[in-house]
Amino acid sequence: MSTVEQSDLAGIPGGTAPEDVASLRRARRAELVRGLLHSKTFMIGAAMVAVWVISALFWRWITPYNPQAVDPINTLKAPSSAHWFGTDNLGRDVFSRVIAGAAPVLTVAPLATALGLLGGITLGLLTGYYRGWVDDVFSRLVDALLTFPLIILAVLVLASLGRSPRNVILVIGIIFTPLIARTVRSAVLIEREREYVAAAQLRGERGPRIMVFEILPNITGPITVEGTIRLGYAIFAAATLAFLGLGIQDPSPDWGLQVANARAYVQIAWWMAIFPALALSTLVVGVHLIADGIRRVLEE
Amino acid sequence: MSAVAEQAAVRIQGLTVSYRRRRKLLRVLNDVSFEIGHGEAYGLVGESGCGKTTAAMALMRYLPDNAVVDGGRIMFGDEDVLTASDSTLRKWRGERMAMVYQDPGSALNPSIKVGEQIAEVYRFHKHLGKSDALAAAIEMLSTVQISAPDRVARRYPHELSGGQQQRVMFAMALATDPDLLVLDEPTTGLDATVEAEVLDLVEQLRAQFNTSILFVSHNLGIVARVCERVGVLYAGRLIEQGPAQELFQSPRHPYTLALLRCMPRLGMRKDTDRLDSIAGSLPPLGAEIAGCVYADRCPIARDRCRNEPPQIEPVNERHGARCFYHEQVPGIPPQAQGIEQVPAAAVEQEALLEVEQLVKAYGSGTNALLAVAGVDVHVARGEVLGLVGESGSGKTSLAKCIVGLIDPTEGTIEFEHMNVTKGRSRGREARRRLQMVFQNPDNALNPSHTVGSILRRSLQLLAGVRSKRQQDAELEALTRSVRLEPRHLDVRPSSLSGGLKQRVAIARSFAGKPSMVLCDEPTSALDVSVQAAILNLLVDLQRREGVSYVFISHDLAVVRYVADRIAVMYLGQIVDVGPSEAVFSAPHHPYTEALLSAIPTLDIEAKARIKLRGTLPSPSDPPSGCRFHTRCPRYLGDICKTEEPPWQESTGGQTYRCHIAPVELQRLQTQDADAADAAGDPVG
Repeated sequence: MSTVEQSDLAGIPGGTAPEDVASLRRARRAELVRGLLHSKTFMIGAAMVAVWVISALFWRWITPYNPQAVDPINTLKAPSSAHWFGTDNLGRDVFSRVIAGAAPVLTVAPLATALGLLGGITLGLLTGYYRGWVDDVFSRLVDALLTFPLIILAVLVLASLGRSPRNVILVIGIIFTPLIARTVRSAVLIEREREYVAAAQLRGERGPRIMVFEILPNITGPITVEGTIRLGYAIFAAATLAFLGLGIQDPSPDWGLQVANARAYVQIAWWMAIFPALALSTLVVGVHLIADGIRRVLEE
Repeated sequence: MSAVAEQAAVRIQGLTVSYRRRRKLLRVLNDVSFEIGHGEAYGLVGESGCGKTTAAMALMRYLPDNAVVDGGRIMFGDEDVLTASDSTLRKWRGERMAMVYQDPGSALNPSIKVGEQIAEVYRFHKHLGKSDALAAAIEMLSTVQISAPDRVARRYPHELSGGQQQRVMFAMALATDPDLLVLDEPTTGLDATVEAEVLDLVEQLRAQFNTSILFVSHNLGIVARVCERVGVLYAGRLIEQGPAQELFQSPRHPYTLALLRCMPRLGMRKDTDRLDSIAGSLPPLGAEIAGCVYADRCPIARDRCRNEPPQIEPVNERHGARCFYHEQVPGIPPQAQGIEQVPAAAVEQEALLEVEQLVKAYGSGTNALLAVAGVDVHVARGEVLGLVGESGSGKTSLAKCIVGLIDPTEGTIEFEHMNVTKGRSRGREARRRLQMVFQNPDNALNPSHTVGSILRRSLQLLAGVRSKRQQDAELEALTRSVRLEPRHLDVRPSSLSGGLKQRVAIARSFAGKPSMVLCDEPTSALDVSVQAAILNLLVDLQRREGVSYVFISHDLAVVRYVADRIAVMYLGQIVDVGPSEAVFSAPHHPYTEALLSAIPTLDIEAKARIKLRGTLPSPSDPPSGCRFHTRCPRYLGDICKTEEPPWQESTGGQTYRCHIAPVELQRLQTQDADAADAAGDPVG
């Protein structure tokens, strides 16, 4: 990046032309995008995720059969040219159900992650910036929370709140909040020691403004990476809860639910379990590749 | 030394290195050639970005992965370092060539005792047994003048001071008696007195080992002290080379000359002299330049310089400069000549800042660390107080208390007759009138905001300018006052150079028309030529606006240049305070004396240096009596250990804290200086 230094004496030319300097800002952003486009990791991940996003949006037009259509004659049929991924115990087309299954998971997981980010960023900023007893209490609470198997916590909450996609979002979001907050907090702890924070305090800025306008813009990198990783876990968690029968209910083509239904037929109809499971893992891996790609480009 | 030319230990020929960055090759070293003779110390100087570290790394073939050697050879004996096989190279590194880095703390393995780390070198390269290697390591530690080497050998790196760590690095580097020692800014992170010790060590080791040294540094004074020959790098080119003394006394390249004139020399004062600075900027990395790399900034450049690259022109057989018109260089007038100093606003008697018995403790109870242990500071309106001290002296804690970033444990701070002891309860008026410029402009400016929005926010909050139109007007005036241009307002700090960033930081602190600005090492992160421009700016602003500064710096030449009065801190106390010139001349506190003698200067007459014994004691357990007694070169006896020294009044309004009376101290200090001059004379 070119720099501009100016002489002590006014009027002596030095440095780059004004248009040049003004465009540097845009150039930085363009550089990040270019870095991502050149990153194989990111591009492969993006391609994998894109397939499922398109499926989630357009499954009505892509699926060869109605994913809910029961066909009592063709139950448990092996993959064939008519049914690429075979049919399930009710004769439903597995391929159509896998494609349509992207929709529920790609609704629940992003919303849950967004909720977790909202809570985590707020809590992370507050504890990292103010520290003191708030921070101590929070940190102990997170430690306590982490000693508890999170899935059991989720099961307990869902069992008492009732099973619904909304509650799944709520539970995952709330569990993510302290985890994300921990990452945000450690980023804030580094930033708050930098002198621009002291300078803001010296000109009389209030705490909330320093957190939101001074510190937050400088920790978007770690937050983006953390958010993407969490999205991967959220997908996985939503599927697990559905598998346990605590999330979305039949007849939804949710992948976790499909795998759960397939359990009884694994020995005679492997295709019922394997295709939704593969779908799930490609999506999760894709999201993680994206996270990895972003992290590497930001570190460069 | 005459056999150097034919029998060089290292010959670098036409070295050209580029860095690959985003699929582009940016040239950092361009056709650099020099040789280092056996037992010779060669200094490579230049400002940041000139390629000096790349040259040092290339010599060891430690270049980063994205570096590409486009051409050249590095002949080490009869073999080329650049083409040597990996196994040969592995054997050479450590055995025939060794390197000491800038930051010893990160170069040592934190989990291995230092004795074992040195012993490892002996075991690997000399194949000594375990106990023999350890014995050899301990002996080497005593060679690098570590007291109680067998005890130190059993310590971990973090248990040693910075100076000791650097000695350990030297011990490791010298363990195999290498032919070549590469020193990359070996004293840059160290305090002045420690730096002086390390340089003493380098000199002594040179006498003891017949090692060739490549000494890379940005500090001309250090290079002048240690090296016989010097090469000056600018924008990846070696632009001048010659014997150290000759080169520094009569430089023949306009850049070298300008660089030397940028340095505030001891004895320069803001009232009489203006610092030279270099106009323009370093060409960006990888720029294609048809002619001389310095032509854009050169006062004697002509058309030829812009079209045709100059070769090294010989001045005499040992001195050469890459300049067509090198004969005219001695005649270049100082740039600052004819520029009037802004007349000073009178220093008034009225006290602006009064700090009484300030104590700042971290932690509590018996473990409390007293960073500031009862300090009185008085600054008059329009006065510049220089605050000097090494790391751990408490000067930064004191500054943070004054400016209100932290609250003092005890004592009071009065500013413009307002009690501002508690930082958080300060009103807007107090904040507006008392601002701060931070050390590192990279850190002090929010990278996410544009320069314009940073300054606008300060105008809004400090000056209380609300209307957009008025803000625009004020912003323009503010920008102009620090000699920034309107186009700089639209960019973020990361696209500005260090000097420009610091101007933005200065502008920010002046937004509310302050009456006092705390400058915490405002130039120590900057290059010499940029430092000069920033100091000129600070002096101009101070004089025009009648502002007071508390100016913190470890660089005594800088402090002497800007300060009206100076306070010297040691272990949380002020030990010496008074008008600049009085503090700088005898009698002064023995610690001040040691600090002064530690400054590496370009003067040729070698002065006898006052060496401080031991290391800085911990502020959590300060020595009894006089805090300086454990290291004092003028230690009297038990009285220093048991009794706190009184304030002694010296001439010219200076006071210092010592048991030795001014008359006696004056006699001791002038006597020693005379003795040193007498000893230095026959040589010079």
